[in-house]
Amino acid sequence: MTTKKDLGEFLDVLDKEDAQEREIEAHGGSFFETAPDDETIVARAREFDDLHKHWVRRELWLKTVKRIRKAKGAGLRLLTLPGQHLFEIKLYAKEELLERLNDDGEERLAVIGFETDPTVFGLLATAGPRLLEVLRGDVLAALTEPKSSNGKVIRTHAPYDVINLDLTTNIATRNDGPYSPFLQGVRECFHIQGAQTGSWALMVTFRAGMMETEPTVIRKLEEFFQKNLDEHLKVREACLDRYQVETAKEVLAKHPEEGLGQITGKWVIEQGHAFEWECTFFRHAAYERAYTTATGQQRYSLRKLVFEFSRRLTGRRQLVLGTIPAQSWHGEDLTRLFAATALLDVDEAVAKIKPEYKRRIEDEIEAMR
Amino acid sequence: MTIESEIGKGAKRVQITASEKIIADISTGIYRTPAAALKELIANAYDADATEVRIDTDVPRFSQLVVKDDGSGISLERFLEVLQRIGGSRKRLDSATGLTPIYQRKFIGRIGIGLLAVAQLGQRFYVSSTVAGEKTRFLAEVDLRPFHKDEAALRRLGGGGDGDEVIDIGSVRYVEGLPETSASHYTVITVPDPKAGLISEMLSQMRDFVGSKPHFTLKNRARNFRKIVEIVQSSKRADIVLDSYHYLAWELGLLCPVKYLDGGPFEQGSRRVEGADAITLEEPKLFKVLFDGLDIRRPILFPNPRAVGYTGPDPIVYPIEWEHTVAKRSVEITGYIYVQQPHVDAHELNGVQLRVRGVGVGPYDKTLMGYPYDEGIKFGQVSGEIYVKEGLESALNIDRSSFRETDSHYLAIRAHLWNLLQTQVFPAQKSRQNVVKLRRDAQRVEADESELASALSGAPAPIGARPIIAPTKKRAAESEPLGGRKRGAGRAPKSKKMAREGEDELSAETSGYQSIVTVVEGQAQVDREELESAVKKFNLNKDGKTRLMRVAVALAAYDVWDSMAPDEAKGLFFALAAAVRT
Repeated sequence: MTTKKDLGEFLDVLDKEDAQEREIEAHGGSFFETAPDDETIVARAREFDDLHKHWVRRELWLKTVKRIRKAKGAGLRLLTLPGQHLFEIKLYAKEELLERLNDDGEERLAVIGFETDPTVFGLLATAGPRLLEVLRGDVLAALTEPKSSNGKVIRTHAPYDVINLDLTTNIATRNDGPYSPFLQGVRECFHIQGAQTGSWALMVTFRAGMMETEPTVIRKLEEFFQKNLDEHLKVREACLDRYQVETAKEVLAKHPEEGLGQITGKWVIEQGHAFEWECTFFRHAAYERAYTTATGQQRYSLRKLVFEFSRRLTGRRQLVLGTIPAQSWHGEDLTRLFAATALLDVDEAVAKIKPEYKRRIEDEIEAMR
Repeated sequence: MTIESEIGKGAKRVQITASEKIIADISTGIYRTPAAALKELIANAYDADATEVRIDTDVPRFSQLVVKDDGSGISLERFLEVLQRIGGSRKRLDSATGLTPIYQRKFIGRIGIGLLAVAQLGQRFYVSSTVAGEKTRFLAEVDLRPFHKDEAALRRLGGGGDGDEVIDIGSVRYVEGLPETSASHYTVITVPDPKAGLISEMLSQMRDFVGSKPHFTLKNRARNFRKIVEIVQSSKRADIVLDSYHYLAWELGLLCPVKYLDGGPFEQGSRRVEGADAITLEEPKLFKVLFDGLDIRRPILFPNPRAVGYTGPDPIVYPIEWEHTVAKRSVEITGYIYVQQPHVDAHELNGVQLRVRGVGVGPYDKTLMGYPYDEGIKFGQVSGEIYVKEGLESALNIDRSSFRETDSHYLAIRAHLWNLLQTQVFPAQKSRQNVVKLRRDAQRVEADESELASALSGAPAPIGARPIIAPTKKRAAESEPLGGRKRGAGRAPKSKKMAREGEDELSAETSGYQSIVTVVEGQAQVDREELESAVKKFNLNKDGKTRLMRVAVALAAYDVWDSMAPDEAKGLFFALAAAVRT
């Protein structure tokens, strides 16, 4: 029997149509309203299938994921931005690294994928292999808005074994002001990973454009870095060893894009510490991009950071203190930033690869399209 | 339509306009159900030589809707050109043969109509396509909100203009040159924010509120399309046993050019379907529609379980095959009319559906194209499909869910159908029914008699179970009095020979025994005259008459009549007649 309340609820649902219309009236949710100019849309779409990117997939991401898979002893659960041709997912799936779920007779890979481009989303939603979830929208918005529909889905499937935020944005654009959705999103990853008991990997990609990045955010990160250098002798020594300077300001002045990557990496590791995660592996790969616009040739640097975290709980004796003091291993963790093997120049690596290996990578890209 | 390109920062934008006449023509038909809207997109994919259309609804959230096909794709120029001619397909005109280039299919869709149909699913949607050989794709954001705003609807329906007025129905923003592999060819339509009403319907919210209990629900989703068909097959109405989501899948099967279930629509299992092997079914080649992974098929499966155990005539299929030239244009149809008793399940499959190039035009027509006689329950026993292979195009209304019923092809097809119904289907239903009824009656009588004989086998004077109606009273009086074990004088002879010998010895006047029910050679006889008299007096029907005779026989087997005087016997006989009357 329908009650008056039922009917009221039903009519409330229908009322949402008006709100939908008003939102669209205000261009809410339009791909083109949030997208950059045509050239940038096209340029970004071209970034998925180049050699540099695939080199990072094979040499950095795949190897990391294999380690996590080995440690777990079971298929992995992945949160990522798959892209049109699912290169990353196909690479992992080929190596049997991903968990396979049987959804009442239909097999799905344990992958939660985000996509903003409506076409690519459509292709992913209807493509094989089937993913556990394909969500249209911004992954950072889903991470930072737990009550949004995508935010709920992302949390339903957490924790993940691998989170790959393969973004092409800056860590904080000038429009963002001091509040960076990027940094908020990364921090939220540690929240949703609360139930993770094993090792997991976090991969983040961003554009390191000093001129495009919000200065207050850079200044703040720089301050945090300087504080580390002051607090941890080991970090200061490692920094000096690597850059032959002792202050954060000097690092950024001397190596602006790499420095921006490093202070962001440092910030991520420290977020992990706050959630009792030890960083057991760190890599910082980078390559440059060039594109042509009406105003001439433009370039920017893409930074690709990879972290592996394992739980490291605070001692019981320290927990009774009002605030948890810095742990000795925190400093050791941070020195990973400056290890000789931590930084990877992808441009250089790709330039040196042997022709047959290059051909193999190119063939692999073609085969996976 | 007018296009005003605005090239500057961000994507290019063009306005979409259409003539008032076209909009008025479209009216409401294409929006009837979500399946009708999706049908248009599927038809476009078919025309683009696609082999597969995948529909993803993001079930059970329904937060977006995606339709992707692997067809030839469409170039940006062509796409924008189509928007200039909404409602006026040029596919056939563009093709010298009128056939698609790869699979030689006859064109069925109209791209512009398909886009208008999508507008009813969501306020805004995206179209992206790439053509084989091109290394780029375009992405367009289509906003047709003005098209279905109330105000615009009033304008278009209220007329007022001369039909040439151009109405702004929306806009499209696009970006071109997005990279794609040269081997790729597809069209993807994404509806990112399906309308709240559509989502509510897909979630079956109102059905839940009223406590509807469908067989399949979002929590208990069907993973095999055949399962859906089988459930509907044994139900009176598909929309009772299916929630809105599954009903959409089922309806897609009815409307789209998809194959029948494996094994065809007529199962030759526990009940024979007469003539099923003689018909040629029309199915598309190399084309399938996947709805959230469900392989959509034409949801027709006969006979229904109800018909399998029914004691009527076997289900029968009448083939349709007819071609003619009408108004100098060729019209050709094939198909079938299927008849089963007691009626066709589900209700939605009752009637006849016209399929133009494999696409169902509207739902089944229960009036059989307006058949002008009342055939009572026989109407409910018919389900047919008419495949229009040639002609009738001009009769198709622009909504493609109905026909212009004064079109000469439409009238010609209707005439052929009516003729088939009037000369073959309905008369045969009557005669086939009579044959079955006679057979069934005979079987019932036999069974009843067998039971009676069995029941009387232990009686003092077992006699034949089937009473014979004696020709005359006189003749009856010459027979042996009832019981065969008459005590005292005047005992009737027990054999034919004896009976003949006794003819000279006995007469009606001297017998002293009743003559209504007598026994001759162990067989009970009921006097015709007395029987008819009782039947008339008590207005007995055929069954009542039979019952009266059987009761009389049962009493005879227990010697009840033996000692009765004629008046007593007559009184008892009439009393029995009154008792068995219903």
